[in-house]
Amino acid sequence: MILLRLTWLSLLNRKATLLLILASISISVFLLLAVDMVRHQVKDSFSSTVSGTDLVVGARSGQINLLLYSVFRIGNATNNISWQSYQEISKHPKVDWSIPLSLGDSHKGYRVLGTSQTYFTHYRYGKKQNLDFAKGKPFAGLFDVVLGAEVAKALNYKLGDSIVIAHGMGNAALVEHGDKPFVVSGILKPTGTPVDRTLHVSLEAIEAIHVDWKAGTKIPGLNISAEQALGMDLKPKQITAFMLGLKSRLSVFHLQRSINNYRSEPLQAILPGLALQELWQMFSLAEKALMFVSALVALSSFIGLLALMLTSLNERRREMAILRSVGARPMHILLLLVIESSLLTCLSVLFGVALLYLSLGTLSPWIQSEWGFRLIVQPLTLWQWQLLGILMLAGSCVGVIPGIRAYKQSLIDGMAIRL
Amino acid sequence: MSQAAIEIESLSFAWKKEALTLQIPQLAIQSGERVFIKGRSGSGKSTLLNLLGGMIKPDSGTINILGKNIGHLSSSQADHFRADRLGVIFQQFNLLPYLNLVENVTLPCRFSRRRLLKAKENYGSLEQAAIELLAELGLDSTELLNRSVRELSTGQQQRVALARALIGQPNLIIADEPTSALDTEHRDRFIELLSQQCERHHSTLLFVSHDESLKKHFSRVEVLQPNPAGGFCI
Repeated sequence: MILLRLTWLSLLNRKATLLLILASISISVFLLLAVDMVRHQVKDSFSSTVSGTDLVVGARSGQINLLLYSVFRIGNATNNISWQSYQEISKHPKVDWSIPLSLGDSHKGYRVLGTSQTYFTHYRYGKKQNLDFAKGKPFAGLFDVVLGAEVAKALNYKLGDSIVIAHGMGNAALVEHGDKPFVVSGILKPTGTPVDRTLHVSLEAIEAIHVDWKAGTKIPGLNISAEQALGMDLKPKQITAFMLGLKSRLSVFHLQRSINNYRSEPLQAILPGLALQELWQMFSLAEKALMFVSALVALSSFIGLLALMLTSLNERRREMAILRSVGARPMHILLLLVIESSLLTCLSVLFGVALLYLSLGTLSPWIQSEWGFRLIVQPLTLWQWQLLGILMLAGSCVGVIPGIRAYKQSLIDGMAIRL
Repeated sequence: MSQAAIEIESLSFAWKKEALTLQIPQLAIQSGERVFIKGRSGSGKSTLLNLLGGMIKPDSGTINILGKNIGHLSSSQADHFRADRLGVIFQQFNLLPYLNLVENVTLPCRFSRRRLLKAKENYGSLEQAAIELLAELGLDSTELLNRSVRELSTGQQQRVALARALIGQPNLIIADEPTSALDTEHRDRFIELLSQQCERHHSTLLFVSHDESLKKHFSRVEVLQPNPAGGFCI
């Protein structure tokens, strides 16, 4: 088609200015897709982290806060709960299984979770999948540790390696529990959840490394060696939170109420699904704001394109008159401009999508190590295709305005070239 | 072959109602004639060209081109008619800078089926038509053909425009001050070529210019002169 070729060559002829607008539209395409993709992936990743758990119980705070620190290992617990409460509630006749969670220590930025064997048998993620071992087995000895897939990979640990756990969180110079090293007994398969970034030890081990500690520091003069610790009574006194699985889901609300009214200690029980819902409601505002800003960026790019095309009309008057004189009809002139804006938008969409996947590919390892969130390179969703369709349509419509103007202009100019 | 290429009968046209722009009581140009129309700028030359091209319609009177009253054609029909039957050369900058020589020459055939078929019929292929037409005008070195249009001299550009006007044998060639950007020597040479080619391709030529000295090249001269009633007339 001659018009397409003419448009293309004419575009190439004006590439210097057009490249800028091309970049501008490409970036807006990228932004729209990236925001949409990230919000979906964040949701998917959060939703898949916990499944099959009926209640999460912790010290009284907000339900989102409890969900975040217990399940997602984001932020810190406001308070601990007593071992006794855990014992009592987990022995409730309606409770099928329970997983204690004890947080507070870390290893090279990764969190250490004290838990029990039930973690490996009852914790589920994604579509009710259990944890699987890539190598080794659950912790058996007191100073055994099970690594999440990412921890093992990032720090290059193998079975049998020795690990020292630090007191507290973060990467800063932390006091280490250097006197009681751990041995890697197992490495889990990747799950795509925070489990991958966690080191798992027994509750007793958490107790053991803290026997000669008090109020967050080592007690001076008191040195209890690892061997000595083995012989001690290491029954935990406190844990951070616990997860419950019930025999019948029907009793969830009943049990939740009775935990919330627990006499001896202020406790809070949450339904992970409901807490997630609340989290999404908080997110949705930010999400909408981001989408809105991206849409505005797209709008301003298109306005830029429109302005550029309108100003170029004057310079291109001669071009149009020549085309008219060789037999192009006013309709051809209109089409020429519509094709031009469509072609530019089409190219921008291609560039934008390329930019998206390029940045997904290159930034995703960095995002994972920095934010602990894995961006998966996945194909465009139906909605994203529709979004691209809308952009293409908008791009074509932009061309109609200068198109109509050129149409009228070419009717007035006729065959005469005006300098 | 003496069919009238152009027949104008009591034509009048005004851009604005109060001021008459152009009046032609009677003008007939036979097929194959080469006519020089003299008129200074502002004498309604562009108006005449646009009337002949069917871009604007006369207020009264008739314009028959090749026996067709173009005042009665719809604008789309007029567009088709112009694309098929008219070759146009302007003063300067006739070419699209982003097309090469051959593409510039073949451009009319992209918009007119009739001229496409004619070009193929006469030369075998469209490319060949362009190359041979350019060669007839002295633009035949391969080095020249591969050059960007921008690198051509004005004289060469005008010759490319002539080849473009001639391709596909349109019946009527309209040249609007095609030599005003050329020096005397090139001017005479160009007009010679123009006349020669129009004769060869059996095209009627309408050469519009303000430059009286050029009329020696033409067998017939018409003058656009001030009309006592306002505007200009022939």
